[in-house]
Amino acid sequence: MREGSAVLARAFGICLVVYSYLGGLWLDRHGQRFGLVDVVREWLDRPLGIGEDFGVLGLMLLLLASGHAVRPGLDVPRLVRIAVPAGVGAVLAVVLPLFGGEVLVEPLVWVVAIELVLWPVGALVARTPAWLVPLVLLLLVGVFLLVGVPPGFAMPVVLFPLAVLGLVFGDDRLPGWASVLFGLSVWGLLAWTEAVVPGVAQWWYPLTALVAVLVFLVTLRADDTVGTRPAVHWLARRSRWLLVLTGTLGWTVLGFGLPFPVGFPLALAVVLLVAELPRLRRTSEVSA
Amino acid sequence: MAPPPRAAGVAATLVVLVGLSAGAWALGGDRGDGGDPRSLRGGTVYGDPRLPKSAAQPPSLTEPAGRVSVRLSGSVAKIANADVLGDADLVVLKAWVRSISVVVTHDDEVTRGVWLFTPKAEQASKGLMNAIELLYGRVGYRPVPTRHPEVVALRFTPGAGESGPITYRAHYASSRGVVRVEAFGPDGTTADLAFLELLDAQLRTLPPVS
Amino acid sequence: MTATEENAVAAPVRAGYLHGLDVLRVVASVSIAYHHLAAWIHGGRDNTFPFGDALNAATSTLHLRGELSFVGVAMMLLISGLVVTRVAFRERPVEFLTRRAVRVLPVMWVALPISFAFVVAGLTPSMAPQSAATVSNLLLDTWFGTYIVPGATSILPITWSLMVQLVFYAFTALMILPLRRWPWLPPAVAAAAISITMSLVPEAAAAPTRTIVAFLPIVFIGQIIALVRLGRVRLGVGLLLGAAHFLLFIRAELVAVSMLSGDGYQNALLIDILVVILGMDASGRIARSRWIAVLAKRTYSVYLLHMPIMFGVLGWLKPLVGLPLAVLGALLATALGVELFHRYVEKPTTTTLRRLLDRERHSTG
Repeated sequence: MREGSAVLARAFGICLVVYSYLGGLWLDRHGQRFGLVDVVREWLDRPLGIGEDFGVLGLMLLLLASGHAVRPGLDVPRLVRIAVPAGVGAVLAVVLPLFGGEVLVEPLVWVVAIELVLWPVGALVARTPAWLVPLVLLLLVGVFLLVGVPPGFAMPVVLFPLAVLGLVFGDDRLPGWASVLFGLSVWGLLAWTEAVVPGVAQWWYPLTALVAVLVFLVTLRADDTVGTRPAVHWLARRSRWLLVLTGTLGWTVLGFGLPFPVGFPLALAVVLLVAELPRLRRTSEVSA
Repeated sequence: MAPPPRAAGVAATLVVLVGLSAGAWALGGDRGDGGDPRSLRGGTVYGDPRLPKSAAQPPSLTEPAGRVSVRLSGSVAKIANADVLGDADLVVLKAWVRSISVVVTHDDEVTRGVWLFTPKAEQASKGLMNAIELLYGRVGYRPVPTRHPEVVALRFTPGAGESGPITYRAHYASSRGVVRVEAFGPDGTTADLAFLELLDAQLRTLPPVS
Repeated sequence: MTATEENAVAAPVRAGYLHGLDVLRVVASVSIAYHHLAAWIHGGRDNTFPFGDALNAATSTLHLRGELSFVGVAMMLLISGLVVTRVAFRERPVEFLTRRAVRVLPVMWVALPISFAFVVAGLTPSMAPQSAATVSNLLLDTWFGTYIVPGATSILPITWSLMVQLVFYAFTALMILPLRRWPWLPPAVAAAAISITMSLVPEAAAAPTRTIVAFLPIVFIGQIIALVRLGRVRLGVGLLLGAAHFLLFIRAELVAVSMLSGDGYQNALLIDILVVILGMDASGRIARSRWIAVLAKRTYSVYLLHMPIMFGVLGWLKPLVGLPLAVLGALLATALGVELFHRYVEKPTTTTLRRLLDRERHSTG
């Protein structure tokens, strides 16, 4: 398990998430168009086959990084780093609509939920063979697919295996071939999800997941160089705050009715500024 | 403070390169794909714009009546391997065509087929049609009139003492390539009726371009 | 020492040698050969190919093109750009171009009559019709003229990608001196030149031009990977140049009506790029194994001969013994043909010509 791991993946992932859910999805939900987003969709999203303005790619990178950072034992500081932004996000998600604000909960909430579910796994990982916990977790996903995925739970079924894969990549006890086998299993689960859960197949998640895994592995190599840059480090450290604030404060500011070219930079500035406010100095580690 | 000479040189070089590229694109006009937004495909998006791919376009080929015996799509080489085209056809198609889609059906009396030949170059449909006309003219096909002036319709009737089906073939240029509609069978009247019906249906599915 | 132990003993890591590229070369050539084999099988009436169907079902979840189409070619072009760029820092321009031409052309010229023999026998209609087996087409193919002269048909259709690579070699030779001084400049100039060509040259005109410029960005992406890996350009600059070339490839597909039209090209290229970046540094047991080294040396011969031999043997054997045995026969014949060609044509030719070039270099000082 690595401390401060997957910095670049986390930073890159959160940038994609903010662009997708504060930009692209907000435009769609409000029937608006913005030339730059249209051009990116025409020249990048559709040719590469990665939909949702790279949003799910970003979420997958965050979860790979999250799984990668799981440490043996019950890591309470990590729980604090997950739970506090989650709690603030939950409060904002309830309070802001009471004052007329608009919020986006799904799919961002699933990342937080999966991180919370994965937190206690650290305690199991240290005491069991390296392959056991990931295998059981993936089997649970398989059971879920077998008995039927309830409506509204397609996204966590798609995202959770990526966090498990991050766990596999982060465990030095597992040889390379085992990682490949787990990767193939995740591919199989995603293909199965496409086949049995209505509405999933059109989003091409297996392709997005493969790209996420490959990008994640490439960015791990650059962590020692690019990962030490201040901006990258900051984005990675604040990624959980940015995630929850995008869907709450960001969407509320955009809902003020300003033209998008003005509203988006304003919303982004608010999200970035507020993310910097709570300086959690208990630990400077990025991954937890 | 002035930027160091090296950075200035790099910046100047990039400005020149980008400028030349942008200028060529703007001045490209009808040549290449410069300056003509129609030439950048995908301007129309069907469905959710966040989907990885636009929703599928309407089909190119109508489904002929009868039992499907061939349904193929792919390169000329792939279709050649399926033994559904003669050598003479293949020579012409290999020179002009990038890909072929075909549906052939049988019933007791008539074999029907619809083909889409996607040319290698966008403006090559007319050239391909000319080449096909020349080929079929050489082997004994004769023109038959239809109520569609954009369509070149041909008929082959075996000579006295020869056996073989009576064959109708029509070709026209569409927005997606050259379409072939064919029907053949031992009885000329039945083949003729089947051919005209199939031609009407196909023209409704994928209209010709002038 | 047991066979297992012998196989397990791998070559030591050679300083500067990217063993991972050997693996990737083998993967690329196997993909290309598989693609043509699968296309032949799937294109035939009444042929069943459960393995191919299963593989297509698997790759369709990634929305790649069927039968691993384009995956191998893209990887091969990336590796070509990568490897040749590393060499470009050590050779003078004329020497560089001569060595590349010597490596590619003479061997191709010997492969052409072999392919001609299969075509003239009428055994390979899905590669080239029998009527294409003319002396004119054979001579045109020696300088890629079949892609330029209207009405000509290539008797070895895989040579189009060699044309793309030779254009890259020519450009790199012209830009060797700037490459050493300003490594970012050649790929930047190339991007501009490709873009200008796409803007001014119509799809239908000068037949291979648009094909060449459509695929050149892939080779240049390989070059950029090499430049970053060698530390000659910074990562950020490399990413910008790489993005420019990738966007040019996307542009080529967006306007294409001939090659490249259809789905599955850009995602395949992205996956290939990431796999090459990850795999090039591999130095584990598999990457250093003798078998990989042996296979990697034969990839060019495989590339040249797999189509005529495989298609020819399949066409001959399938009516006699059925598809499964025909496939087995075709694979064995290809392996044998490739090995003979490599041992008695490719290796002696390139070794002899290299010696001549080395002798000339030493004599001119």
